Amino acid sequence: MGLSKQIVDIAASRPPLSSLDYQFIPLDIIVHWPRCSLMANSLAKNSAPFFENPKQQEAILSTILNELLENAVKFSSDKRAPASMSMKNYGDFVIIEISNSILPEQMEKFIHFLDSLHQAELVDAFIQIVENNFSQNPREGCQLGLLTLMKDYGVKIKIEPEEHDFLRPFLKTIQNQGNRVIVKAVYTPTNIIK
Amino acid sequence: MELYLKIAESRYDILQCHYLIAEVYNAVYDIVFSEDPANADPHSKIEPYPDLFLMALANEMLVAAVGLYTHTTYVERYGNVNPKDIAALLDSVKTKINYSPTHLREFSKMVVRPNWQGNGISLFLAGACHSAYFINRNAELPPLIVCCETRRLFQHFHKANGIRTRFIKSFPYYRVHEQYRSADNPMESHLIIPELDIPKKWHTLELPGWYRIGQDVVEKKNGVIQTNR
Repeated sequence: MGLSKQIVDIAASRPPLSSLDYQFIPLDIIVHWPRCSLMANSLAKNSAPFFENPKQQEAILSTILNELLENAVKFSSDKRAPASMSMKNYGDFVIIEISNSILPEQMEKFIHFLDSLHQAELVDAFIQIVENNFSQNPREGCQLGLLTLMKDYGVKIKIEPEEHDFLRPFLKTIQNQGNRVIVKAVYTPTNIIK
Repeated sequence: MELYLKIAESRYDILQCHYLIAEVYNAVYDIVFSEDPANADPHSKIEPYPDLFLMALANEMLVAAVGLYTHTTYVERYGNVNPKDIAALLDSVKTKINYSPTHLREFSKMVVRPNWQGNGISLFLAGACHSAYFINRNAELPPLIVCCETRRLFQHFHKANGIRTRFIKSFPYYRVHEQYRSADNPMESHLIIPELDIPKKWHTLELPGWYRIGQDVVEKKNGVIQTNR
């Protein structure tokens, strides 16, 4: 379920047509949870006019952004360390990047989860998670959210350690736990690129 | 350890309490908050903030806080407690004050900053919040107090501070409480009738004020010694 080579090549070869970036502190969202949807809606509303069926795309983008943002806040290991969310529009697709702190073992879990989806049909995986979910660990619920984005909206998701982190020198002084991680999600509104 | 207790007044005071409460509750219980009570949802683990806060400061830093709902209490909203339940308990006692079964206030969301835990602050604050200066704040008539917490906490905080609580009813199950309630430690709603149930040393505790907290002793800094046992 990683990003396709075609998309990676395009993103590497040309700058995005537009880009919107948010910096945020996860704790600010925990203090007032509706900020999640406010941020997601704002980004989606800004970007939707670029696409065909903007109303429909706004709703889908808002759903995708909200899910990714909620996960970033929930799994930030340092709720006071700055996090960021950006949405780059390449015309045929958008790349959403979310960067936050994370515990190494949590990152391993995510990577393992996404890798496991290579081997499974998304619908089967979805049913299995629904059946197993909510039994022991409520945090596993995030898998369902990410899987829903993949299954229903064709979102491709990749998670990797953040390598080029301009905030790193600053973060070292205030971040007391965890690594930095970046979640990349690609959404193709018109399914031109598969 | 010396603490300065005061009721949150400014917007800065109140937001400091919100941030401390949200940070601690999220770290320990995975709970998030909303400034708008309409967004609160115990199934989604989204909690409303109390209306008033008692702050405990050390060197001008907020180290602990406890909240008070002054209307639409949690036990009324989610605990199925109604005026008939309260009236039934009031009928069994005699008080000089004519309490109303609809005029309730409720303690909630007591937190201590993580690196300040283990110093007896929570036990002290659990007693100090029963000060009439706090519970009667901006009230036209003295209110009744309700609490919703686990059975163990009633023992740990109220009984240990000499404060009597009266069982109203068991609290329904909500996902928001999943990390601290259990079959042998259920959530319950209790009533406190201030005139009868709160020891004078707590009910007359002056706010704002400086207090020195030891393992067994709470001493007001001006020399009036009070024990918390």
